[in-house]
Amino acid sequence: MTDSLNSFLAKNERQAFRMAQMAIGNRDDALDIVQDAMIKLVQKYSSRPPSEWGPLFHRIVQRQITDWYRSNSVKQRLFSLVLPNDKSANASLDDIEAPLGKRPDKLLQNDQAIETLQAALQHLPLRQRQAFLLRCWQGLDTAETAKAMSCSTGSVKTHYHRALTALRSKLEGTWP
Amino acid sequence: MKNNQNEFETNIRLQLNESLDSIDKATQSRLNNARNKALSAANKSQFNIMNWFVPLISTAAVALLLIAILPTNFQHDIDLNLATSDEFIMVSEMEDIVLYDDIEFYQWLESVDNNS
Repeated sequence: MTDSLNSFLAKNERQAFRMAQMAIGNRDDALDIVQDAMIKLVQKYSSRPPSEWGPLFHRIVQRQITDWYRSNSVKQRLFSLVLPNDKSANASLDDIEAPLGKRPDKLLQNDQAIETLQAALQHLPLRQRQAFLLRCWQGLDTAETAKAMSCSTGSVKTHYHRALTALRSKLEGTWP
Repeated sequence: MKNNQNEFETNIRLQLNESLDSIDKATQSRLNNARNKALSAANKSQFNIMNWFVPLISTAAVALLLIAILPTNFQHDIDLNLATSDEFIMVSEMEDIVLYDDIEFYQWLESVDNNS
């Protein structure tokens, strides 16, 4: 049980962190959210079948994000997202540690594209962003997304369509 | 139109996946620590369940023994008491916490939707 939980969390933790970070723009708070979500999943739902862990974990993460929104001021919400490694913005290409098989200049290009994408995502209403990331990135189907967001499948479709339309409008022509 | 939409979604998915590779070592280390903390909480939780499980079984065994040795004319009353006790244990130990969490979750979500 612990091994399968460990594998599940190891597989999903980075995506969950990124989703939280994109939603709230604060690395430390995003890490706290992911940690709390992991603990809640393990304590409350570890006895459930592993096939249910994904939707449950996402649901907990999304709720934590929404709670964060509710408990933080407007000032904290209006953030400028800093990419995970703050030093990378000012570092020369030689200083950037490249993952295997990836050129630093390509990485920087990707970082800029990601930053543009994250800024566009940040401008979406929370529910639209949640629906979009869960559907498009996590690969959940409409029913699973609805479960994770605790809403109807119709709402998911509406949020997703609006998110997609808004992103196309914001990114078209300026984003690869 | 549909193909364009699929390509657009695919590009976004690829970019987001790329963003996972750029997570720095310090953040990855904190994620690992968070995972370990969560898993150790699970072990601790299992340990606590065992702490409750042994006395519970012992109590049940003693209760059964008492039923077996007590006169039959008291049997009916004792069975009723045990049934009540079992129901109480079931209600207090099983899904109530999860159920409560769900109810609270939906109430909370409804209030958020109403406010938006």
